[in-house]
Amino acid sequence: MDYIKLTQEKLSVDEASILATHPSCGAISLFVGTTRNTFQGKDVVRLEYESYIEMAEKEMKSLCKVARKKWPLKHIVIHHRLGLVPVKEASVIIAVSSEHRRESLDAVSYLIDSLKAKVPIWKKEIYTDGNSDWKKNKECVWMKTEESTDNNNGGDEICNNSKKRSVSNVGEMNNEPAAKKIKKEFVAEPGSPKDHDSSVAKTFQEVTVKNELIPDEEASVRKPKDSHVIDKNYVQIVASKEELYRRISAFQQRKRDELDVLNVQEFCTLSGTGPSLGSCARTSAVVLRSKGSNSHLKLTRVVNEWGPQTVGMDPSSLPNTAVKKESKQGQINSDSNRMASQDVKPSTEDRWRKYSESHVADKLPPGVEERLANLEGHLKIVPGAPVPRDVYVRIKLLEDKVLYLEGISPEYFTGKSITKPDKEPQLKEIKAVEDDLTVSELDLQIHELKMKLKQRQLKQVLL
Amino acid sequence: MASQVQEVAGGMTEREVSVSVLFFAGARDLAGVERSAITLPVVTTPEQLLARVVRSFGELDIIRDSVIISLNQEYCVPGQELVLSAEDEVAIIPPISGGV
Repeated sequence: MDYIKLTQEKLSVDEASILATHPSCGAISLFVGTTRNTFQGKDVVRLEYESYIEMAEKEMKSLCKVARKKWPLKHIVIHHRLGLVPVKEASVIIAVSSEHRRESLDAVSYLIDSLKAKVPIWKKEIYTDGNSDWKKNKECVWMKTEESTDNNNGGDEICNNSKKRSVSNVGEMNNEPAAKKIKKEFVAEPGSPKDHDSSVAKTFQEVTVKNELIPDEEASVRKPKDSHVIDKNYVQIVASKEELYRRISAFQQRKRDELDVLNVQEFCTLSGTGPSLGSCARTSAVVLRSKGSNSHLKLTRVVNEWGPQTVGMDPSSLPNTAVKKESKQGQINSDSNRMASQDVKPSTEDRWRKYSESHVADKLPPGVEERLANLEGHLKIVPGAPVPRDVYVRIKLLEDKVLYLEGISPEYFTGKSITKPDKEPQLKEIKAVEDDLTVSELDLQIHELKMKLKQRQLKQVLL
Repeated sequence: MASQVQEVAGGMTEREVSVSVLFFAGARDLAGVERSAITLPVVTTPEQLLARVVRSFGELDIIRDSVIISLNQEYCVPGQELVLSAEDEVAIIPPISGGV
C-alpha cells in the first residue's frame, strides 16, 4: 500500500511508522528530514514549502511504482509537509516496510533521492536579515547542466583528495585556521554529504528515535564555512584535469602495449619475423585435401610450432614454414590412406636436421661428443646423415646398428673363436686376396711361394 | 478558453488555443500571479511554449533557462511535440527543492 500525503500539519514519525507496519515484515526503514537553522552562516528564521500538489502526488506515486519494481516492498509512506515549517521539525518522512531490512533501506534511500530530483515541491528560506531565497536541489533533474552557485561544491570536488589526505597532518599545524576548517568539514561530511543547502538529513534504521541534538552540532560545525580558501601546501596535485586524464590514459596505453608484447611473445613463434607478429594463434593450421582422395571432408593438419612438444628447443631455430614444408612433402608422396601422424613425421625429422645443422656441437661434454661421433663414424650409421640432437636418440641408433650387425654376423657375438686382434688386418688382406683367386691361380701362387722358399734355402746354404 | 482560429498576416491560418498556465515558487514571485490564461499554438514544443509565456511575462526572462514545462502534471521533454487543448494545464516549474 502506498500512503502519500502533502499536508500543512506537523508530521508524525509515529503515524508514518504505524502505517508502514505489517505483521509479515521484519523491517521498517524510516527517513526523517528535518529543517536546519543555518545556511552558509546565515540564520534561518523559518522555512516555507509549497507544492504543485496534483503533480507532486502523481510523481510520488510513480516513484513508489518504480521502487516496487526494484524491491519487494510491503508499505510505502511518503509524508511531506507544506507551508510554514519551524526549524527542527520534520519536513519529510519516508517509511518503507519489507520482509528483510536490505530492501527497505535501499528503497528509502532511493525514494528520498528521487523525491528531491523529481517531485515539484519548493522550499523558501527566510533569513534574519529579511532576505529570502528559493532553494534548488542539486538532484533536480533539469538542473544538471548548471553549476550550483549557492554553495562551493565545485571547489570541494577538486580539492577533495588533498583535503582528506591532509587530515592526518592537521594535528601538527592546527594553529592555521584553514587546517581546522578542513578537518571539521571532513568530520561533518559522512553525516550528510549531499545536503549542504540548508537542512539536515538523518536516516533512521529499523525504527529508531529521532535525535534532535545532531542538527545543532552539525550546524555549529559548519559555521566557519564562509571563507573557503585552501592552503596551497595541502594541494598535492596541481596539474589540470585534462593533464591528469592524459596521464591516466597514457599509463593505460603503456600497460596495454606491454601486455600485447607479452602476449605476442607467449603465443606466437618467437622468431620475430613478420607474419608471426601479426597473429596470436598458438598453432599454424593448414587445410589440405589429399591428392586423389574421394573424400569431401576437409583434412586439417596441425603442426605445433611452439608448445609442450617443443619444450627445450630454441623456438627461434624452428622453421616458421614447417607447415608449408609438410604440405609439400605430403603432395610429393601423396598417399590418400596415410595417417596424419605419419605425415607429421618427416617434418619433425626435417626439423631435427635443420636444428643439428645450426648446432653441430651441442651441449654434450666434448669427450662424450667425440666418442659418440667416433662410434657413429665407425659403425657407419647413415653415412653423411645429420646427427640427432638428443643423445639418447644417438645411443639408440648405435644399438640398432649393433643389433643389425648381430643379425648379419651372429658368430661375432656368440662364438669365442674369433680372437685375433693383432693379425686380423693381415689375415683379412690375404683372405681378401684369396677370395678373388681361381684354383689354377692358387696353384701358381703356391708354386711361386715354393720357389721363393727354395731360393731362400739356397741363399742360406751359399752363405 | 474556447479554441479559436486566428488570421495571421501572411494569410496562413494557425490554430491557437487558450490554456491555463500555473506559476510556482520563484516563477510566481516574478510573474506576480499564480495562474493565467495564455493563448498558445495548438501544436507546439516546450521551448516555443516557454517563449510565448516569457513574451507575456517579461520578468520570467531571467529564469527561463532554469525552468521546465509541465503539461497536465507531466514533465515535458525538450523538443517534444505538444498538442494543446482548452482543458490542458501548463505549469512553469522552477528548480525544485523538496525533501529536506
